[in-house]
Amino acid sequence: MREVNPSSTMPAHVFMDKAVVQKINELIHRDPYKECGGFFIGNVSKDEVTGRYNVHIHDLYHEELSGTASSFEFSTDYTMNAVKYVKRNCKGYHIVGNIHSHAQFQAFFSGVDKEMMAQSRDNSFYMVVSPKHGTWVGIFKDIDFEFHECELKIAVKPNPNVLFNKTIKRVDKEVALNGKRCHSSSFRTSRFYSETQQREFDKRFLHSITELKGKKVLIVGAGTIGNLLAEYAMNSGISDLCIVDMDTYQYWNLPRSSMVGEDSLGKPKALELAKAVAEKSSFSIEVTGINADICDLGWGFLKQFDIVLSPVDSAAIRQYIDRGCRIYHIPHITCGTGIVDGDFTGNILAFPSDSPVDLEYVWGNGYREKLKERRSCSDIAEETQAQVMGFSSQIAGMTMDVALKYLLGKFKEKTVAMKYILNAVGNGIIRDKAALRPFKYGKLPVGTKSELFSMLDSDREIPSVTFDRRKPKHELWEMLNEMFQEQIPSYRLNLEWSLNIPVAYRSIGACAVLEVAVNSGVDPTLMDLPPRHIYLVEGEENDYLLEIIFTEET
Amino acid sequence: MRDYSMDLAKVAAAIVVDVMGSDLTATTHYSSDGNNIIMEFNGYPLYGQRQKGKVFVQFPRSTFYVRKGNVYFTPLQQSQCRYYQDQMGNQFVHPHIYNDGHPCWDGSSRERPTDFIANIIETLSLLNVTKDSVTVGLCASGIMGVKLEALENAQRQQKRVLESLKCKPIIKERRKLENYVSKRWCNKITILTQAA
Repeated sequence: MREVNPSSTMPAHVFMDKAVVQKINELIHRDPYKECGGFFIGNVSKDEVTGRYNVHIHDLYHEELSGTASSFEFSTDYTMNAVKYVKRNCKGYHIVGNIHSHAQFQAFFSGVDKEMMAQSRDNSFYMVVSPKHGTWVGIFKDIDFEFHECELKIAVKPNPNVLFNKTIKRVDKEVALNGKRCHSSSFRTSRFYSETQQREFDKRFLHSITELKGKKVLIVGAGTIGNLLAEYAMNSGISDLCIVDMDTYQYWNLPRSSMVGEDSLGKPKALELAKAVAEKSSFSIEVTGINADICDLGWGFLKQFDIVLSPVDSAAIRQYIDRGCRIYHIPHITCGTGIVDGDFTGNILAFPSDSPVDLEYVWGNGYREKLKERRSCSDIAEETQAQVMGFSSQIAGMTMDVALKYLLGKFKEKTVAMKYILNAVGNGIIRDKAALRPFKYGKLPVGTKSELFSMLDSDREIPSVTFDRRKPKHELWEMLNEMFQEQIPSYRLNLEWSLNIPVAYRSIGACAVLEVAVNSGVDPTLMDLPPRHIYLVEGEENDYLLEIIFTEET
Repeated sequence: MRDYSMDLAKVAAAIVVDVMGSDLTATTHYSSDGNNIIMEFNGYPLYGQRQKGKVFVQFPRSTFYVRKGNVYFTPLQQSQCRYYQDQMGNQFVHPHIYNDGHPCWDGSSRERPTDFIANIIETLSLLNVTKDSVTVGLCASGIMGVKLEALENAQRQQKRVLESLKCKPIIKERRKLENYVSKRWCNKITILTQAA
């Protein structure tokens, strides 16, 4: 008997209709502790030029038969019933192989399986699936008993009416960012409608699409609220969206991620959410996903956006984003959910472009200890998990409501920051007399010393220098000395003030201050800093804010 | 363009030499990237070697600085500090120094410049190796053995250092050492700032 090891270098293509996958699952999970089997119905063809076999599996025939825990027999009766089924229901198709399950083991071809394959001289596709382990193997045997590896593809029946009305152009990029590889995917979706359809669309959406044209929105965090915000942004007519996240989707994220499907498992969140938005959008949209830590991108990255939304699990990252937004005068809304006294509470903190206060002030002092904690929807206790989606959608909905008001210029108090605290409705009335509590922040109280606002001078623009970080650091000192004229041997870049401590700690070993000294050589730690960022430069007499743009290393 | 950071580091190094004995000589310089200051002590009796050699103490440049006429000291974390011997990158042989050269500090205070200098002295003389430090905290890098073996080896080396360098006797008592260092530091700082 020949071995089942694939002997041909040309793998067979197997196209399986999605309905067949569902039938396979019905079959193997009916009694996962016993083996069972069924017949594939479809067609086999061979490309005579390339010699490649193509198998199309159209249907699966199975009966409610089970074998033992370690065997299943395709009896003559079972086979004859399958033949009759094909004759009656599947005109133009044939039996093209079979499938059986392994109840206790991983999926593999056993000695008995090999014997079964050797008994018939035909083109057949064989499959073994393990319901216990979720694994599968498949192999194609041609009429000459040559075995071919299989490339399995699942075919989904499309709706032809929407097949030809959009294009999605995808551009993938891999760039070196502060010494690490960073992936980004940009999707440009163009939707085409007939004139009649377009007129109907315009009746409903023309205003928002026109008003929002050219507005760029950044969402940092592609978790539960990030998914919802992306969905709401897409359906509100926002045409330029960017999503940044550094994680990948795990199976426990998927139930709470409304936009993405199971195909996203194990893939970068930002890229998958961007892809989902591009595919689902009814409007033309440009959406970019960047799989990176926002701290690596630097505050300079934020400058291009009209609004930044940060539904992100880390308080430190929210603070980092907020300070960048305050410096560049970009509206910023951060939001999140949590549990207080066993029930849901959430907050939305909205800062307009000229906010008189920052996130640090709204949160209150002494908060730094908690900054490094990451609070995610997946951490919410079991007994309240059921409410996560419902409550998160309220928070996301309110966030997008405020965001659109900012973007459309409809927010009446343009220099007032707002904090909204929303309690789960049922308990809110009892505990707080109101489910929603808004707080206004019109100005910083007299005598309050703010690390940020004491440095910000609205009349003076923050100066900028460009430096090639592969060069000795004394060249940067020369630039700083020319700019600030203090004639001191070293200016100090305060990373702690710039809140890129995560970057500094990860790479420099708790180095919160970088010296830019007259006698210094090449400093590899500069490679870990963001490409465009604003630093507090400490001189001997004064402190200065300075934007440093590091030129891209080749 | 006076470089106060270096001046202050030199003052600190001079106090270490003063206490440890004049057989030790000190030079100070910056690391190539300019972020750190390196104190280089020559003439130190290296562990396991018959001849004397070099010991390096590296710490951030911003540990000492002057702003608007005032002298500032930034307490440093153990991961920002490095002790090497022979050459840069070679771990200093001491039960509390790990293979990348960073010390695992004991409960001694680190808030003042005096603490910083006293800690260097206690580390170079191995006086901070105690029964508790090598057993209770298991604070032993293994380079001198572990637990009591580390203590024995450290005490042998300590005796050799004290004898060969002719260290001042106050070194053995932290309180006296701190008083002495503090006085010396204040005097020298006054001279430095008055000269400025």
